[in-house]
Amino acid sequence: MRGVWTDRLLGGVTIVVFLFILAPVASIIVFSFNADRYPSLPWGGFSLDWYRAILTDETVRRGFGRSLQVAAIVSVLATFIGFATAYVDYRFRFTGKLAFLALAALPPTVPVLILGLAMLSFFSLIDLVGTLTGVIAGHVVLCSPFAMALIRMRLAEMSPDLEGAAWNLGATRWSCMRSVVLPFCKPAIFSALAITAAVSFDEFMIAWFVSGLNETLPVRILAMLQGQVSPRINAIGTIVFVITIALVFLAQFLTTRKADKEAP
Amino acid sequence: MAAPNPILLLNQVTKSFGDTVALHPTDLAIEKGEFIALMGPSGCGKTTTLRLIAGMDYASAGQLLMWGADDITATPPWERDMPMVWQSYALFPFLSVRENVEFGLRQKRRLLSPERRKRALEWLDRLGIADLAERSIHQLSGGQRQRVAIARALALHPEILLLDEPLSALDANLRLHMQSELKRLHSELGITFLYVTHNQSEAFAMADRVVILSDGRVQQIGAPKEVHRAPANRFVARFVGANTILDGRMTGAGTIETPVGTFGIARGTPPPAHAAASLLVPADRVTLSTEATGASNEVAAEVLTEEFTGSFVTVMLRLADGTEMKVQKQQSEIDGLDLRPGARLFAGWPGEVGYVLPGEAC
Repeated sequence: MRGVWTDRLLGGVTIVVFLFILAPVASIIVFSFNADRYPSLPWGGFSLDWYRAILTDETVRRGFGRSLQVAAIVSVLATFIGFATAYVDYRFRFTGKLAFLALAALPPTVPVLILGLAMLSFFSLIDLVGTLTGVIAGHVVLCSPFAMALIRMRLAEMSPDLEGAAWNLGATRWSCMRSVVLPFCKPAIFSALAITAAVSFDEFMIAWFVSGLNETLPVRILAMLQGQVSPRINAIGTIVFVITIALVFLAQFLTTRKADKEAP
Repeated sequence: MAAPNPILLLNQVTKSFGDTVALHPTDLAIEKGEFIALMGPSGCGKTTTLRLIAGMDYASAGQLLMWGADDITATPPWERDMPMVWQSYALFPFLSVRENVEFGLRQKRRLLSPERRKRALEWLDRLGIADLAERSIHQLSGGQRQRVAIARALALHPEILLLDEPLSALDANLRLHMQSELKRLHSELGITFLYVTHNQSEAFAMADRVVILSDGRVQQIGAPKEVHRAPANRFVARFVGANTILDGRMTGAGTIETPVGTFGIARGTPPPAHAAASLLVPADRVTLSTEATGASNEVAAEVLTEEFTGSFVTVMLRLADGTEMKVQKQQSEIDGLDLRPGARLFAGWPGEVGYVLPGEAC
């Protein structure tokens, strides 16, 4: 039996861990509304100046737009590839399947610095450096494994009889895919869209190597940091954090809602 | 029943997975309107056979013919018209009960929405679950899911319905109830039911004919009574389970000599004199008494166990040579007997029930 004190202790530790992780993020959010130029206490009063400043900064706005555009395209492509990979794993048995899966899951395990460098040298061969297409290609490589993992987990819950039942009731392979496999995977597909969008939106290293003049938002942030330390960084950071965390929560929500609904 | 062409004919159908043969060449003619049960222990090939018929797997050799002419051996499952009731039910969790039943109508019959809906509701009503039509699958009990699965298959108005251990996940009461319901549906619809089960009582209670499989080979095909009274071989005799097998050897006089005595035989095809043979004694025909009656078909025995199953009692006896003998009696028939383990008594059987099987070299 677990005592009340054990529970409290566990709760306390959890809170401390969260505080430790979230404190820097919280300080960014807090100081983004600070009227003072320097992030120091006491607080200099509430202000939206820094937000106003970044919204009027053309380079930030363009970076933001590019990041959104890249994230949107990447999430769709990566989720599609992730779904296809996960389905191949689910449906077929073939020699070399383990190698296939290892290869499909590999990109996030490679340090992004290496990944970014490799892409830079490869893309320069095929004239993709400095283009958003290059950034998108790089992000798709990085994000697809996340989509695959999510959708594969969902497919693992799918009774192998389900497809058989659809065929048995007259559904061809394609209509079975459309009317059984996709609807079954729907929650995972939506969370994969959200997660891959979040990863892409946040990603700095590949974008930094590949984007050239087409800076995405994280690359723009670094450029600003190199120039001067301005509280505008806090404002951008807050916006990026809110968007990313919203996407992650959305993914989490979609996954748990499905679990609730299907609890016996 | 002797229609010119069977609705489905298996002609030397074989299935192997790599080096393993799951189904040896098998012939089976299924007549229109029949209730056929495929049964056997797990791994015997019954499910493989059903999957080949449904098109979930394709035969390695042999042919599947419908109406004697239409070769469906390589036809994909969606073009075969044999809906199946799955052991796992395989209902679509993201669809409501009614949408599940409509699934086949949408895919296969290409019916318009109002027509589909009407037919789905008709079948749900027929299976007594019309009030669940808009529920989600997760809200249903096992028995209710079972009914949805049956409605989903029957809504297609097929000529053959395939059932893969449909009752195995239900509790005993519900299973008996569904048995009679399936039997009723079968006689009302007049279509062919092909039923796979490992449960002997299920198969015997419902089927017109049973096909007993073991190790990927058909052991016997026949009416339940026939299989029960005249098993084709030792495996069937054991699988049916209601027999005692006494191994021995034929004498010159047409009797069988076993370690516990020499007995007359009344049925079966006796092997030649002096060949190995086995005598089957049906468990329900054995009489028990405390005194020897001097009859020729009688052996001394010792009680091993006594087990009540409702109004029946199953008594296991040990004969002089260690062979176990199974006896099934109504409770009232053995009221006065002492059946404690270790009690000694005599077991006899009427001469006309002794059934002989060729012995197996062992």
